[in-house]
Amino acid sequence: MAKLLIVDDELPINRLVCKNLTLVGHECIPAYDGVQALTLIKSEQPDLIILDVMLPGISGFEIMKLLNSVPVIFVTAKTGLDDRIKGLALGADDYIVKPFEMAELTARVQAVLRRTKRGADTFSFDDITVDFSSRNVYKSGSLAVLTPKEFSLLELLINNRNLALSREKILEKVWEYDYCGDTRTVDVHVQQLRHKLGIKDRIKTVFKVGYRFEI
Amino acid sequence: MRMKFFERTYLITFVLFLVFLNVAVFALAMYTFHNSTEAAKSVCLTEISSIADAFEKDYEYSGAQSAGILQAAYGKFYKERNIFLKFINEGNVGYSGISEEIPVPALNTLSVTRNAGKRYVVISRSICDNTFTLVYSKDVSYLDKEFTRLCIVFVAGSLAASLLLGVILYFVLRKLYVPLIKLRNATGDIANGNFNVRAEDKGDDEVSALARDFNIMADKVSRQITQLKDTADRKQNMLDNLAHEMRTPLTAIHGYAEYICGARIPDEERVDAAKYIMSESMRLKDISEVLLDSAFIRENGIKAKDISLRGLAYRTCNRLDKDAVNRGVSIFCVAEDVFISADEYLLDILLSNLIENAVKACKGGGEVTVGTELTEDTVSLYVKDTGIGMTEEQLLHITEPFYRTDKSRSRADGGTGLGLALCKRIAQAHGTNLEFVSEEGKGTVASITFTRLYQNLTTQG
Repeated sequence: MAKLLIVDDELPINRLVCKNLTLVGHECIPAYDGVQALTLIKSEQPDLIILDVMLPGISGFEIMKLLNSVPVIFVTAKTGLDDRIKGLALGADDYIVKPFEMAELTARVQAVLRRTKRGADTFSFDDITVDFSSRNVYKSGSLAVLTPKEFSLLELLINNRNLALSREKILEKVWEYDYCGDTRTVDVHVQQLRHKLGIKDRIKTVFKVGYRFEI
Repeated sequence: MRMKFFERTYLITFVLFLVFLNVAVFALAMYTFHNSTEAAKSVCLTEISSIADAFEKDYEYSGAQSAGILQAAYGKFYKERNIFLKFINEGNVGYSGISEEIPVPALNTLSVTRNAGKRYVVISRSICDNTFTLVYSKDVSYLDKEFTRLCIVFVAGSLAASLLLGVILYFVLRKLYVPLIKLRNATGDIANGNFNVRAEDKGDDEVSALARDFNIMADKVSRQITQLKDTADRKQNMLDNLAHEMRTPLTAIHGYAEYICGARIPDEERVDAAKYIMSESMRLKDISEVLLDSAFIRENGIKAKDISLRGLAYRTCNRLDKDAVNRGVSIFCVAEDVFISADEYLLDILLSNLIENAVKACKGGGEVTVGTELTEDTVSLYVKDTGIGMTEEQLLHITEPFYRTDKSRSRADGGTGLGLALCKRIAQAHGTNLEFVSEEGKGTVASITFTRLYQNLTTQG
């Protein structure tokens, strides 16, 4: 969907982020230090940079100062407020604190891409087209009637495609804490979605984990 | 509130002064008045004597039959001179120029009486061989007037003096109190946390001495506060770094676990992810071990015994040789058989860390030499490498927790970033110091110096 530059000097974490974001449909380019990152920003023109602030050579904050118009989500391991305030003041679009959950990262990536109009507005699979801006779903060219929660659920599953989401995570993301229901609610909505769009094969139940949209 | 002491001193001094001044003025007034009264009395006594003498002579000359006329003549004559006379002839009043209301005092006595708002001196005297009693009376009201005038002068004088004193006292005390007030302001500032303020301590009185002592105290306090702040900052920094060092592997472990759990991936990738989890948890283990070692030294101190540096160096070099060879680095051990008193386990940790760092500094290819250097009573254990070396700036920081010379914090080489901090602690626990000499591009020598016990010459060479 979008071209992302992943800047982190920690090889395991860089690879982890790349793998996950590739799975959900992005193109990921890894960079392991500041100099490499700056070169790749010029040559690859990424849509979004995920930037660790603690970097060898040139620090993440210094890179941010050199950037123009490329959205940045910065990653910090510091618990204090200083780094976050500094990062946001330098024009970062969002931040995430280590250790983070992948669903959190994908959600932020989607949000920033949507906000900066760099992400795709539609997503198509099989005979279904999902329009994220108008929040409509078309099956075989005709409008499918989904409730707002069902649409949000579908959007979440697509944004985390190929990654399993626990029922708790889905509750948290789609119902946003304001719902006191139990995880059965998620099951009911998933059934509805599968039934309405006929995508039983796409939304898989992952044993002991939750649901996964596969493509 | 601030002026209480000043006000108190001022009031007490002022009131005391007023009391003494007025008592003195009052006493002076009374004394003066008494004196003029006495003077008036003696004048009266002289006058009555001369009147009596003159009358007795005239009486003798004119005879008893014209006594009444004589009395009247005298009375009249003296009345014009403001002296009133009264003659009593054997109980009967003859001539009287004195009001009946004024009592006649006993013979030959003097009394001061008031009548009709006036003051009289009254004296009675027997004259002409006790034929008559002469009563003499003089208006001395001028004494009262004089007394009143005196009072007015004294009161006015004392008022003026009090006023003047009040003003002068105020300014004098003010001037004396200024240093005290300044000192107080300085203490107030310091109490509010402004430790840069110092009191004025010019002069050599008690207040200046107090100010000087106070400044010394303030210096000490501010030094200690700075020290405490530094320590707290260092601890906070260390804690931040520790949090960072722990969070990085945790992020990887959590992320890969999540990945294995939920991602749609082939089995090989799952194995890869699991491997990452394993290596990252080892890193956490390493960090916790170093922290534990560090805490162990802090809690238990060292268990010193006599150990041979040669034995220690050979054991450690042998253990690390394989890793070094894998990196293309050769380790040479040339330590002599010198004995020192040290904790073998801790010294092994220290030497291992130094050798590992030296091997890493060589970046593939190079030599690491472990040896000893002797002086009269000391022995230095050194680890020398032909690696990349360090800048002076780097040398300053290498024993700080989590400091990495390549600034990259790149953990490709492994290690916790705590190794040298632990080494420093071990050296300190042995009462000695870790020293580094380095030249960029040429290599580094790390050394630690101990007191030498004895040398086993048989195994030398």
